[in-house]
Parts: sequence; C-alpha cells; structure tokens
Amino acid sequence: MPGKGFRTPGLESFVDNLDEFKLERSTEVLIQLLARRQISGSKNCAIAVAGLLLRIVQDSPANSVQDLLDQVSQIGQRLIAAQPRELAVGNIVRRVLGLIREVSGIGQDDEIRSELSSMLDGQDGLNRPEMLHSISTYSPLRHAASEFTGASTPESPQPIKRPNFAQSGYSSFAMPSTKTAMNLFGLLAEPSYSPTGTPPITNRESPALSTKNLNIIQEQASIKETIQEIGDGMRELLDEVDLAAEQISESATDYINSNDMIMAQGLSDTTHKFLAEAARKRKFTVFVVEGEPNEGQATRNMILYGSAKSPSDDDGQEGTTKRLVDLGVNVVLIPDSAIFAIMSTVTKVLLAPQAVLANGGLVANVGTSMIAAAAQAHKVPVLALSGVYKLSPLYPLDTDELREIGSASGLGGSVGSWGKVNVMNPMWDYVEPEKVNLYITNLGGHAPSYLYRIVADHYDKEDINLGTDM
Amino acid sequence: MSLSDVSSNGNSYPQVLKVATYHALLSSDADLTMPVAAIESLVRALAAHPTSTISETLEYLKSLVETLTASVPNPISLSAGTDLFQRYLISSLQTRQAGSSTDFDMLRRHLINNARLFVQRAKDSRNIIAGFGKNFVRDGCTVLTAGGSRVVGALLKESASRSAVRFRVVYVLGQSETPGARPEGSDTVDALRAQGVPVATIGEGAVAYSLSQVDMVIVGAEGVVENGGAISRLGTYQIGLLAKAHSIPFYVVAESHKFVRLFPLGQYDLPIEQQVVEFKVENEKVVDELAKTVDLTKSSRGKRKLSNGPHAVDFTPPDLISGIITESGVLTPSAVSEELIKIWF
Repeated sequence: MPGKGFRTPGLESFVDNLDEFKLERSTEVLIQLLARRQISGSKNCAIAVAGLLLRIVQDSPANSVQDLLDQVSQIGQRLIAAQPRELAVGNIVRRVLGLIREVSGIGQDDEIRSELSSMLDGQDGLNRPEMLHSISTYSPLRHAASEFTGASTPESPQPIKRPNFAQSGYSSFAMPSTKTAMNLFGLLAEPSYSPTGTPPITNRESPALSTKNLNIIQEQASIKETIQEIGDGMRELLDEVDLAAEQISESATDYINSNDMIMAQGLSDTTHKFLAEAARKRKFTVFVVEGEPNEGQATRNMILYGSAKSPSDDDGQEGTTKRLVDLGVNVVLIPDSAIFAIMSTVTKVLLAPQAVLANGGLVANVGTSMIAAAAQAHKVPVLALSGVYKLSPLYPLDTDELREIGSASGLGGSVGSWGKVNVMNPMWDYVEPEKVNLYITNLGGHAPSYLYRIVADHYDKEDINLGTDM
Repeated sequence: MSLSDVSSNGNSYPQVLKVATYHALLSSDADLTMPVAAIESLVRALAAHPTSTISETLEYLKSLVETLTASVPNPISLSAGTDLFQRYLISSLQTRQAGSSTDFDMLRRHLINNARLFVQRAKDSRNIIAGFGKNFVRDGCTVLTAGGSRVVGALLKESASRSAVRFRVVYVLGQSETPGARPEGSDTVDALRAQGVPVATIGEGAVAYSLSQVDMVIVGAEGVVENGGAISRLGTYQIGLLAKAHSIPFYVVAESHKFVRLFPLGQYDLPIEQQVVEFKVENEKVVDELAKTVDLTKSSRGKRKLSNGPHAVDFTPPDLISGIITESGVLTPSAVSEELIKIWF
C-alpha cells in the first residue's frame, strides 16, 4: 500500500491494517479512531467494529464459548464507551454477542422453550402470521441460514424460530436477571422452569428437539467448529451492513412515483442509491436539503460528483456512482432555511437517520427535526431509509443524552474573531416516532410502531444493557 | 370463613361459594389483582370438583366463569384472568395426546398444586415492572399519576429508593368512595412523602392546570385491550387527552395478565353499562323507570349495569399511549394484539 504512513487515519487505513497489528493494538487504534471521530457515520462504525470483532473471534484463544462472550463483551464495552453516540457500535457488538449465543447454544434454553411454547399453542413456526416471515427467516441471529440471502429472496422453507418475545424488553436499563419470557401463559406455567414463562413440559419431547439438544452438545464439544460458524455469521453481518443500502434501494420504485416532488435530507449513500434506483424507471424532482454546517460539503459533493468526497481531496476517489442529474433526476439544492417554504410543493420526504431507536424515533443530522415538523405541518408523508444495523434496542428515556456539540469552525469565519460570542453547533436531532410515517429497511417497510418487533428479532435480551452498567 | 373451608368443601361445590372464594381472596390480600384472584379461585374450584374428562372440566369451568362474571359489577379485569386460565387449559390439552388421561391428570395436578406460585409470580411481576419503570423517572422530572394502582405505587416507591434520582409527583386524587374515607392513592402519597419525595395532590379539575409543570404521566390500568388501549379508572382518558395536547409522554403500567381480549371502539363499547352520564329532569321518577327499561334491554345483550361510583372506568385509546410498561419490557400499544393472538390462535 503506497504511502501508508501518510494516509489520514480512518476506516480504510484501519481495515487495511487490521490483519497486521496485534489485537490489543487494533482495539486501541479503533477506540482512538472512534473517540476522535476519525471513523464516523453508522455504516463506517459498523464495518470497523464488525471487522475488529471478527478478528477477535477468529484469533480467540478462548477455550469456551463463555470466554469468547466475555472477551467480546469486554472489548465491546470499551468500544461503546469510546463513542457512545454512535449507536451502531453498540448494535454490532450486541448482534455479535447474540450470534455467539445462538451458534453455541448458550441461552438456547429460551429458544427451546419458545419452541415448546409454539407447540403448546398448537402451531409451528410455519403457521405464524405472514408478516413475521420475512423478518424471522432473515434474522442475522439465525446462523442456520448460512447463505447470505438478499431481502428479496423468497421465504426460506425452514420453520421459523421466532426469538423469544422477552427480548423486546428493550430499554437502556438493567433487565431482571431472571428471564421473563413474554408469554401470557407465563403466569400459569409449570414451576420446573420457574420463574420464566414456560409452557408445561411435555414428557414426549419431539424428536427434532432432542436432536437439536444433541447438536448443541456436540457443538459445544468442538469450539473450533463453533468459532468457524460464528465467523461465518459475522461475515454475513458485514455483508448485511455493506449491502443494506442496495437492498433498501430495491424497493425504491414502490415508494417513488413519477412526477413526485421529493425532499431529501442530505444525500447520503443510502438516499443516493435509493433515488438512483427509482430514477431508472421514474422521472421525478428531488429537493436536496444542504444540511449545513455538518453535512453541507458532503451533500454538495454528492450532487456534483456522485461521491461524498470531491475528487480533489487527498483521499477522495473517483465517484463510482453516477450523479443523479446524469440519471435524469431533476435535482434542486436548497438551503436548510428554505425547508418550510418548499415543503408545500413536496409530495414525499426522505430521511437518512444516523440511528433508529426502539420506540420508532430516530436520530439524524441536525435540521432533520425541522424537516419532519414542516412535513407534519403540511401533511407530507415522511419515509426514513435505514439499514437494520442502525436500529438500536435502546429506548430514548432521555433525549438529552443524545446531545453532542460539534466543531464550531463551520459556522462563519475563524473562532477568534467572535470574541465573547458563543458559537454552538449541535450535531444531532431526535425525531419522535409520530413524525415518521414509514421506515424502509433492508427487510422492507415498517411502521414505527412495529420496530419493537424487529428489535426483538435481532437482539438478545441479555445484551441490551451492554455498556450502560459500566 | 377461612379460605381452606371453602376449598375443602368436597364434591358438591356450590357455585355461590366459588364467588365467595373470589371475594375472600381479594379482600384477604390487598396485593392481589382481580385476574389473579379469579385464576386462583378457579383453581380452588377445580381442586374441589374432581372431573375425569376434559370436556367435563371445560364445561365445568365455563359455568364457573359465567357465575363469577355475573357476580361482579365490572368483569373486564376478571375476565382477563379467566380467559387466560381457560386458554391455557385448552391449548395445553390440545398439544397433549388426545385421550391420554395421565397427561390430563398431570396438568390438573400442576394447576392445583401451584396456585400459590401463580399468585407469587403475579406479585413478582409487579416488582419487575417497578424495576423497569424506575428508569423512566429521570433526575429532576415531575411525574403525574392518578388512581390507586398498586403497580404505579410500587414503581414510584422503587424510583424514590434510588438516591441519585430526585423527582416530584403530582398525584391526582379523586373523590373518596365513602364520605369520610381517604381517597384512593392516599397510601401511596403518604409512603412517597415518607421517602422524601415531594408530592402535590390535586383534584381532577386541576390536571390541565398542572400539566405544564409535568414531564410525564404514568397511570395504571385495570385491563389492556387488544388495540393497545387501556381500561382504567374514570378520569384516565381525560388525562391522556390532556397529556397528548401538551405532548407529554403518557405511559400505562400493567402486568401482562391484564391483557384482555376486547376491542372497544369507544367509551360506550365496553361490556359493562355505567350510569355515568345520566340525564334527569325535575320529575326524576319517570326517568328512573325509563332507565330501568333501557337497562333490561341492555342486560339481555350481555351488558351489566354499573352505577356511577368509584369503580367506574373509561377507555383510553391507544393513540394517546406512548408505551405500555409490562414485566417483559416496554411495549408499543400495537404489541398487545400480537401477544393476545399468540394465546388465542
């Protein structure tokens, strides 16, 4: 790699060097990069964290799955602490922990129970309501689907193992140590599994179940195999992060009509792909909100060069994606101050959240709340494009915690010239779930009130408090 | 009359006593909720009445439930418990081999032997909810609450025990049930004040007036219905509306055994008849008689008359509710139907 030493530290240099450095060094480097915001943006953070954790899992000297879990959660907590506002870091760590548990069968009891419970309900996974299919089969926690399948892949024929509902106990606070499986029958269940919500024991265990148990034992016997499998799962996770934008864009034509007037909050990679895909079949106008001062340059570059970095930048590369104007989209760049003025002509609003929270709210670049409020005032539907990796199991108990003040250098002139005047540049906006109409993820479109279910499907309840009890 | 007398009554278990068991249970244990009391009294009845076949048991249960619901003015909360119990029995039996009597006996024995456990679990879930919910109460915030919900009381007391959190409570106290008696919730107010939490008690008319000082509303519920709405003490609906108007989060706290399969479309779509809005003219007798005839037709449609008293309830629609805090986490109102569907279908 030429001129490695001179490169600005960032995601690329980190990923390139990941295999060369010692594990502890890599961890330290990533912590520094995250803390200094040299790696920023949910996708970059997710890729960096997943890369590091993959290496940890592969090189792990751990001789038991529990050791591995401890190791990952310890490093994970350090990473979260380094940049608590990049919720994607915590999301990836939690999903890796969930993956390890799922593959190794630790905490599998719950799943067996929930399986029993579905037997109890006289229904197997396949008889579940239709809406759950696309999600559960696609859950990255399900190592069984060893092949990476796109969102548009038809449902897999395997019976659905729906994660225990108890996992939906999302909030950034300590869960009770006793697992309370969410099943209304929990109250009446047999005491042998007490105190969890469990169906009564059937003394004739289904053959499938006992072989599963057997499998678990065998898996536990060979840690190598398990680690191999966890590694595969993590590569899937990386793929998911990588391909999320493309998968979201696949449904673009379902949401964008001809002659639509769309207002886009900035022009993120995801939004760009989404609009580009729609542009193949539709003619429409997009008002791109500049997003000054934090995202303004990136937005303008995206319009002008099809890449967030201009080609004149040191490490900027040629935009590989076509510019929207070249695709026949009528692009209008508007300043943030014009949002309300333009909104009356707009038919749809596209948001690009930085993180999505379990209650259906989202965190995005500052100014987004203004767009959402203007859209609400004009009754314009608001769509948010987000990969599932951005969906955090945290509950915004206190939105002030999300507050982050960025550099004021983007706000007019040198800092010195302002004298005693305070210049403030808040980074993020929180948008309440009521202001968003639909989330478009790589799994499809979901109402904000449905996100709790996706959280339940993707995160292990035990991991939700990770990093908060430090 | 002790409870053991009731349950050891042998084969001829009169249904009247069944009802008595329910009321005795409720009054003997202040911490018992109506659904759990109903479950426990069903278990006791089942224990006292040996049935050998499944259908016989179910028939027997059905008649018991009917008697029980007929005996109380407002059976919504109770029916959550009896429904849960019946569904549990039916779906447990469905998954077992048909006609296998040993399995049925096992299930029966499990239910009879573990009645105490069910009660204990129900009480534990209140503590779990308090554990969750205390995190909603942030440092420096003001919480408005109303009614005599025990789980809200537990939640606030738990929050008060956290030394790092200072909060204030605005407690809406209604009228007391009987003249001279203290209104519902007074005990919680005292307990909170004893723990050093500043509590303001206001009347129902002062809710809107006080809301600008309030950061969140937390209320209990008698039942949580299928669409995610809550059936709660009369007055909760208006607090919900006011909270919505002020953009203040409105949380309902309820154990999941209070989920009940009802889909009310409005205030007058509940399976009870409440004489809350009563029109009168000077010659009241005429109206009274008119009301009686109306009442008869209503009761033939399965509704029950409930006089305007302290037990009147209203329905808070789901769009006013920010979240439902249950023992298994914070649910959005739309999650309730999924849970109910899981046990019914």
